[in-house]
Amino acid sequence: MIIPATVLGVWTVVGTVGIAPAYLLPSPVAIVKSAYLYFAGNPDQGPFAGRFFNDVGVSLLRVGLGFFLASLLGLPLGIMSGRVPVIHQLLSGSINAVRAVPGISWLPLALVWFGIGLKTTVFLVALAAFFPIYLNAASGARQVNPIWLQSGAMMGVDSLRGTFLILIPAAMPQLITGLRLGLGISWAYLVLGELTGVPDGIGAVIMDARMAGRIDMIMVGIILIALIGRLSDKLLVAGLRMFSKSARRMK
Amino acid sequence: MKPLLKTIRSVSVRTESQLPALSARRLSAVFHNEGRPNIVLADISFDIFPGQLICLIGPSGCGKTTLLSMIAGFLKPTGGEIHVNGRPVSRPGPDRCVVFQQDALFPWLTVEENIAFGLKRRSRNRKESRQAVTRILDLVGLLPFRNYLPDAISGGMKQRVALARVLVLRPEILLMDEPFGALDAQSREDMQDLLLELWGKLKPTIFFVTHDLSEAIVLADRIMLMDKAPGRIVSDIAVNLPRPRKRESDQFHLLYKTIRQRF
Ligand SMILES: Nc1ncnc2c1ncn2[C@@H]1O[C@H](COP(=O)(O)OP(=O)(O)O)[C@@H](O)[C@H]1O
Ligand SMILES: [Mg+2]
Repeated sequence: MIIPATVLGVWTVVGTVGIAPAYLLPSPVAIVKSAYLYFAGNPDQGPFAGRFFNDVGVSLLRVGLGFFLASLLGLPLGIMSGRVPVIHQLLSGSINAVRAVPGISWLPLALVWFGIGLKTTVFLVALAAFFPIYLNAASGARQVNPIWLQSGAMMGVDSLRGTFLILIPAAMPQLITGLRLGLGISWAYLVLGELTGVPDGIGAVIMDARMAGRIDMIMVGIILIALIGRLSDKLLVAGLRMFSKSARRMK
Repeated sequence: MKPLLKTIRSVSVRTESQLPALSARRLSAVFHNEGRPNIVLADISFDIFPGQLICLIGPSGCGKTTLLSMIAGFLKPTGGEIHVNGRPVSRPGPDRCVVFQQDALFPWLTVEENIAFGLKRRSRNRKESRQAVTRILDLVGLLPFRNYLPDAISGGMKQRVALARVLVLRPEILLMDEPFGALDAQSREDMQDLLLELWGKLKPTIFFVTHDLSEAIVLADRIMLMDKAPGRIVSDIAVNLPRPRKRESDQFHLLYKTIRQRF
């Protein structure tokens, strides 16, 4: 609480004393006003007024789809590669090669393949989120105490059931770590994907605001991303805890 | 010396008409360290009869855990055969359950859920399962702790849960690998007494690995002594001390000394 309060204080002082002009650093009050208009205004009150729900909805859809695809591939592939040496050998080379390419350099290719819009953004988000999910799932599955698996086998659990009854619960802390990192990265790549000229989404707001010289709206966009990012992380953890005993009970 | 001769008797030929609950024939285990073969077990053969409590004792590294893992089905013998009630052992199964040396409970399940785990795989009848779990919880004295997580209970209590979760499956053979080795002296004796009590009630065949001779003498019908490099059974001793056995009795000490001289 101390650091945000100090930043806010210094920010207000810098603005009112006139060290930085308002068009470069709008005051917190101006930003709150813009945020309010963005949230609850009518379209005739300015270019950004009232766009909130549409932008957030569209961005959530893109992040959600991309993150879902990344999990759908990353969790099973990661778990298999953590347990089956042959699969690890098959996958690790190519996955490390792809991972070595900075995510941003996929942007031009994605634009050519998918055009501007939903598909490109979802592709970028899915690609970026895949790696932390996959890598953490693999290391989590690899490190599962072998005695737990032996215990399961002697109590009559076959390997398919053992995967769901023992392997996944045992690896849960690391699966969660991977999913949370993946979701965090998803928001970063969402903004990247939406900077490419899509008409809506929080990234598009930031881009439009830059074109229009509206620093206040850039800041509203940034704060919004930060808030929704936090919130989605909390929801993810709460959801996992709701559905998995192990997520509730293991540190 | 007369009573002693009666208590210690090498078991060369058993004449039981029964089928052995567990039989090992010419078992061997060879591991390879950087290409060089390491013969861990050589030519191990024995029969254990239903309801017997056998202790396997031997120096650290002689291959006790390796032998137990092969009986459990976790490890394939390099040579030889293992039969349980006449069936060859090929993979792990609830007819041969292990209580491990270290804590092997599922930390995301409560005491009760850990014990019910194997039963759930097997029985469709939920009510019967619950009753069986409650009964065994009572037998190991953990009823008040049924809803605790393993992290919240002591080492001795964890081993009780480990014992309960396999006893509830009514295994034909109970395999125990130095299960009380990590406990303090008092809990170890409590656990030994508890095991004997449960053995009296449920009569499972028990194959108990230890490196503690007193423990073996308290528990066993029969002690198999191993030596190492390569691991092999060097003597097989029937223990006929009357039960319940007093750890402080002269007979106990005499037997201890006599066996001690052999390894
Ligand atoms: N998976 C393995 N690979 C190679 N060597 C092993 C393996 N398991 C056990 N050994 C070797 O077998 C020997 C006996 O080990 P173990 O059965 O654990 O002995 P004990 O339980 O009697 O202390 C040790 O020397 C150990 O190095
Ligand atoms: Mg051992």
